[in-house]
Amino acid sequence: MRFSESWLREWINPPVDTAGLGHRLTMVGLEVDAIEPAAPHFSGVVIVEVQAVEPHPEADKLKITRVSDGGAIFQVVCGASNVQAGMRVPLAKIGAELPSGLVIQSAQLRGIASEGMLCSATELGLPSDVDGLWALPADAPLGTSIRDWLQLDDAVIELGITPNRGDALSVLGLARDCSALFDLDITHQDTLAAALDATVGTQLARIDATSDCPTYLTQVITDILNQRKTPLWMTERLRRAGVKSIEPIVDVCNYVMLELGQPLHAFDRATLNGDLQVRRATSQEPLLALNKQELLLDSDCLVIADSQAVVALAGIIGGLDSAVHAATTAIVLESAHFTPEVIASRARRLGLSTDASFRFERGVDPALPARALARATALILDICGGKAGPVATAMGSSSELVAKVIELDMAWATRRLGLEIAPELAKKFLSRLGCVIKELGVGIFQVTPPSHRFDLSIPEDLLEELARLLGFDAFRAPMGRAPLTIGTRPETENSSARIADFMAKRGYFEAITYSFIDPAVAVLFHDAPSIALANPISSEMAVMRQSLWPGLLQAVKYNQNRQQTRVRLFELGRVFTGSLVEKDLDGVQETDQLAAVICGSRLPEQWAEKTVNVDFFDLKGDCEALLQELGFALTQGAAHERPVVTFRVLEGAGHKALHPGQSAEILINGHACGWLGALHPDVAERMDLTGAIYVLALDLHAVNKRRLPANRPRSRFPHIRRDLALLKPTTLSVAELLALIQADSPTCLHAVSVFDRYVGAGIEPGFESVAVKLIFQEFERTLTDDEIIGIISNIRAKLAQHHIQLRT
Amino acid sequence: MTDQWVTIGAEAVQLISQASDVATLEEVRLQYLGKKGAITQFMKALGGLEAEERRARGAEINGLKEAIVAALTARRQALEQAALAQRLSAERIDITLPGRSHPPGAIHPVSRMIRRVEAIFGSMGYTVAQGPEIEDDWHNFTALNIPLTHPARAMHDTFYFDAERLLRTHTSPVQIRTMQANPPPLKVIAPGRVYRCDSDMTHSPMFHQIEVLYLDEEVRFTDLRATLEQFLGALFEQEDLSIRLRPSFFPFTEPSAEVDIQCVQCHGKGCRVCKKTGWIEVLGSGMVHPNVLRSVGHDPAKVSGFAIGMGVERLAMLRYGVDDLRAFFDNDLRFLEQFV
Repeated sequence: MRFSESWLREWINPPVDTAGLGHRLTMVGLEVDAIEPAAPHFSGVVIVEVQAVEPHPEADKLKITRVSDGGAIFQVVCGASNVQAGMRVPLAKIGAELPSGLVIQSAQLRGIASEGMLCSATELGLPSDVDGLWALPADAPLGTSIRDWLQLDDAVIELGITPNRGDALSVLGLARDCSALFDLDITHQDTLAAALDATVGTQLARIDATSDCPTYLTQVITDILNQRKTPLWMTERLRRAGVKSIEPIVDVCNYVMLELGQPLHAFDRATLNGDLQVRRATSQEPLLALNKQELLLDSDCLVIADSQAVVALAGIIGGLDSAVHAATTAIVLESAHFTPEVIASRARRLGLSTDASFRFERGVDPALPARALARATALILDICGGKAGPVATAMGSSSELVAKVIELDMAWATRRLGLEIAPELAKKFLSRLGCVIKELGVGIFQVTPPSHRFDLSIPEDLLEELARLLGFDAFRAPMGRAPLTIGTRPETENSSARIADFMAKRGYFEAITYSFIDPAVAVLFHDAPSIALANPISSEMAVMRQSLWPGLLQAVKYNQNRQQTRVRLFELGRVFTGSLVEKDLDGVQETDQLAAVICGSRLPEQWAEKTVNVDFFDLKGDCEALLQELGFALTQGAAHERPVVTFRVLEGAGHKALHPGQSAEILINGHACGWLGALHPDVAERMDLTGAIYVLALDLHAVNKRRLPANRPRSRFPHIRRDLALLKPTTLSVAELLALIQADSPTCLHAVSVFDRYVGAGIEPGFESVAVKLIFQEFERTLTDDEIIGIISNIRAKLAQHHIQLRT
Repeated sequence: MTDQWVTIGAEAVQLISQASDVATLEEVRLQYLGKKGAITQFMKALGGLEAEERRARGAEINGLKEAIVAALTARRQALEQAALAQRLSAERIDITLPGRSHPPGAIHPVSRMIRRVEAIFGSMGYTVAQGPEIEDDWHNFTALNIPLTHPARAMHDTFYFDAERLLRTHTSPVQIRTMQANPPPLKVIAPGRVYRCDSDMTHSPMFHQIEVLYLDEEVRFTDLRATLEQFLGALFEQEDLSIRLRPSFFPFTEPSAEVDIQCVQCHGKGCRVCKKTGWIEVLGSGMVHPNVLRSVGHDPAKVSGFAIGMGVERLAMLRYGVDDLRAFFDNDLRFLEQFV
């Protein structure tokens, strides 16, 4: 909300300067967003009257004028087309400085001396619809500085009023808060109500929707001259409040709304048929709104209708057909109270946010309509003349108007605030806010808030009022009794920070990508339908992700487009699966995952290493290292009691976004918990990505627990190593080979692993050579050669059954 | 005989000093001290002598032998040292070449800030809580004292799935879920992603918040202020950091306060960062509203608490000098590398 400082000071004049006022308002909860001058800097501009206009002998477009400031006469050459004798205009005298920085000097214009410059409003930095000189009213005082006359040395203060403080959306409301804040009385008095003329008649109204509209007042004003001009003092105040002047009746309605906070509406009386009704709209009932928008209403909209049609959307916007215009001679002025519930969200849904709806949905003082109507009528009669009839009153349900009573115990207030506020001070603050206070006991008050503070209904509301008026800065005290408890930090927990740190140490950068993605991209990764937003911000962000990969790959593309060929990223985030078919959130699964992506060279280009592009085993190695870091084992063995990680190939049932021959499902103790592999070339192409890309995904809940380390005795006897060079069919995986070796072997076969692999010259096609290391260990003794030979011979026999031979 | 030994000795010493490598030296050693070496032969010959002469000659031969051994040892050491020196010289490398590079990655600045805030509140005994990102209307709004028609709903541009379900607009619903699940005293901190249907230079449709809740029998407004002072001082590493609380409005707290810190850039003098005010708004806070307490079954007469809500990107922007919100979600490696 914007308002002019001088307007507020006309109501109440606190002993602080503009900056001080702004600071105090901010600190009492009326946050100042901006303070701007009401007009830019200029000087030396006075009001003059044009006495004569003559053509310039040398230039068709210029005129020679003689102007008077009430004393001296000046000759000024002027180029404005609207200059004419008798008009009053601003004159920038010799030495005057204009907002543009121009300093007026005596000049010769095409041979004619000019003692200054006649100004347009625009040249003085003020908005104007008129092209040409600023035509001032006929009563503008000659010779007076235009700055002084229009009080342009004023500040426009813009406040961000919080939604609970509808009462503060007016000069009156701000004055009330200032009254409490500065402990001052409001000095402004309302103008006397206009004399009424019973011959004018009334406009009757009936309230059908009684709970939506507690009060509906109308007043008829006839014999109006609406083509008159709104006085400059009023248009200036409107301008400073950010409201454009239109014509007197609308201007007065806006002015009273800004001054008192009550939205008003004026109907052209000639367009109304019969009595007015305040009722809910029927389904699809039409209204052509003032802004020429064609609305189709329904039963949750409150409307004003006459006997034939809807004439206004109550509290939001009037109809175009019943609107006042310059030729209007008789009006029906409406001043009503509509409940916030019936206004809230309607305006936004219809795309109509007006000053009226803004106020009604925050709440307006239910006792205000009569006062505002009297004020508006008096102003209209003042400006446009005319005769006002008596006020017609219709009343709906009055529950809004019943005063609330709150019991405030100051001892309780002290306990909640941590600071004692003296009961006398509390009483003073609350009285200044307009509350009526009855003392029930020592420090126990019965408080009745004024009708405009409808936001005050519970003791905590009063607590907040006391605290803000005292100033939040006052609430300084050491921490109260807070129990000293030590939080639990389980040693068996793998925090996501641990995972992130490991990935970072391994050369990955953490990315954060959007949780919603393009449905066209989502289907490249998953067949299950994604959970879709009803109101996405764009089609690229329309469904919830089921995988972190699309976002990470998008980030890879972003970097590839910026000359980054080596990319290593990871993200820790949530994926969303399931559906909203079931009630509440029962059908939705949110799963925290780790995902990673690599592409480009294995290491940054460097002298000591050949530049080699990453492959599957780079990412698999990182994945294995991470899982080891998190306390999992890669091989099954006697010494390991840790959960074991395995990688599984699912023939023909792999992940749809992965290369079928270069991907694996990750299992922990046999339970699937992630995927690893080369991005399917088709997906890479559709996502416009360059080069081979490898991705990893891991469910965090599968890895968030680890075992506490438990020491075991080590054998005192040496282990024995035997290597086997084997020829195996390529169709048999290394994992299967190792499993074969281990199957049914005695426990003294401690560990089996591959340490070399060869295909090529000397190896029959369809076979590969694999070198396997066997470690034997018996805990209580040294194994004999004969024992080892026996075991190996059994292993060889087993392998032979699967066409695996020793390489000779 | 003696002359002969002298000659042999001199000859041996000369051969030893001429030996240019360890192998030649070994040959010399064998020539004199080996099984068939000259000295060994002399020693053997001693057996045929009379006892007295044998003793005298023996001593002489031993003397000669010791002299040869000493010369051999000295030469061997010299040769070894020379060989080592040569090897070291040959093995010389240019240590100014860069090391084999496996450069580290980095944690995202948003995560970094979340961890920092978690660590500070963790040191005050707060534990981390989580909640769903797809929320229902009741937890996100109604339980937080934001009824359907409340104008505060307009402040939240909500992403909806349907009439009942939405993407959480703030981390405050975690407050509700935590209070439903646990009795007071409660000290929790809930970081996470939140969503608003708004996107421009200064708004992202997804961003991060951290919610802090302290609930106990008698939590006071002054406790909130004291906690904020300690937290913000620790966060910005300024013990005497000035903060100010401004009355504001959040439906779920009362009194509600927006919290400013003295500008970290200009220390309150006024600059571009603080828009010449000397203050920077950093978070919102307040005493938990009695309606919120009632919505989770607490009696506001017996339990009170405070809540703090902060935007992580905002804090990260201030702390790390990031001036474009969108940089957090572009995932540009050149941006992320700065946080190693």
